[in-house]
Amino acid sequence: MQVNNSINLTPQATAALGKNSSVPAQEQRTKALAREALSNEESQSQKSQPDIDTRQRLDIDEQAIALIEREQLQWYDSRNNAQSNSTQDNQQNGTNSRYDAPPSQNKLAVAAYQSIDTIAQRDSIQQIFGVDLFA
Amino acid sequence: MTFSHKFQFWLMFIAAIIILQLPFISIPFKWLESYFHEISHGLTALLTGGSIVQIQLFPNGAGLCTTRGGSAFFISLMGYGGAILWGCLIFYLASSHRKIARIFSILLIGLLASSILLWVRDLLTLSIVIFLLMLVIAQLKYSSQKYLQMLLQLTGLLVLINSLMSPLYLLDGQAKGDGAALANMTYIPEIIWIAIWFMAALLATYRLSKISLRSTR
Repeated sequence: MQVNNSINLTPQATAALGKNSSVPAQEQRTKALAREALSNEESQSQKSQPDIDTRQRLDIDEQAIALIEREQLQWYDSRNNAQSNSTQDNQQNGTNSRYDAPPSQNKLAVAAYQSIDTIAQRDSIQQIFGVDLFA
Repeated sequence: MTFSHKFQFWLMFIAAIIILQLPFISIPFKWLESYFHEISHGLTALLTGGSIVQIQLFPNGAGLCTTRGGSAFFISLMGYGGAILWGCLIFYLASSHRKIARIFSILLIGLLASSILLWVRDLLTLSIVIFLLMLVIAQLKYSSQKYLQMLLQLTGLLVLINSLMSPLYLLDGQAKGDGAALANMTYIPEIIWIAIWFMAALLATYRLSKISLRSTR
């Protein structure tokens, strides 16, 4: 009478079985556990694949940020150059700090205000308001 | 008579000159001279039939008196002239008697207070005049009669020295200020008016030194 084993074996196992038909059942179980462990590792490595993808996306984001930063740096550089040019102009005009330098409109207003010192304008003010100014 | 009594006036004069060179301490005395300069313009306007519109003082020691009517010649003349007179008056009254010094201090407080009420119309001038008022009140309240007399004498000299030096600021070639106004009215050059004020202040200083020497004897 012939007895059939109902366990599904892999072709490798079958080959191994063919080569050495006298493998004990304990060893077979050990190999099956090893295969399970291997398949588990494979599934885990598949799961970790999205993480790598995410990291890749972050790398792409960092590149974009670096690009934006570079563009901003270029913009600041061009702006600073323009400001340093205007500061040099101010220094040539006798003003030492750009913070103190009023805009051109304000300069005009200040000049108009200060020109009140002149005798001619003072006379006109005196005629308009009918008063005398003594300093 | 001791050395300090004999040369009391000139010692005080030197002390006043030193005080005027000190960076922050000199500022109130410059304001005081400026106040007497502007109030002299104003009071002359009142005496010659005009009125005072406004008195302005500035932190750098400059001032402006706006008047309506009156004699422009005398009003212009009495800016520097008036400050010299005020300096002399303060020193002379303080030297004459301690009670007179006290009464004069009270009159000065009255003048400053009425200036605030009648002629000061901006916050900066108000602050400066209030500061001067506090200074005179403090002199009156916190110093004994003897020291009040000395402090008033020193104040008078400080005003006088400022009046002596102030006309020299007009020598800037800009034809501005009281000297230029008088030159426009009289066709007498500005430098002559500056020389008149300077000589008047020198003469006043000399006369006060004599008066001081006589009062200490």
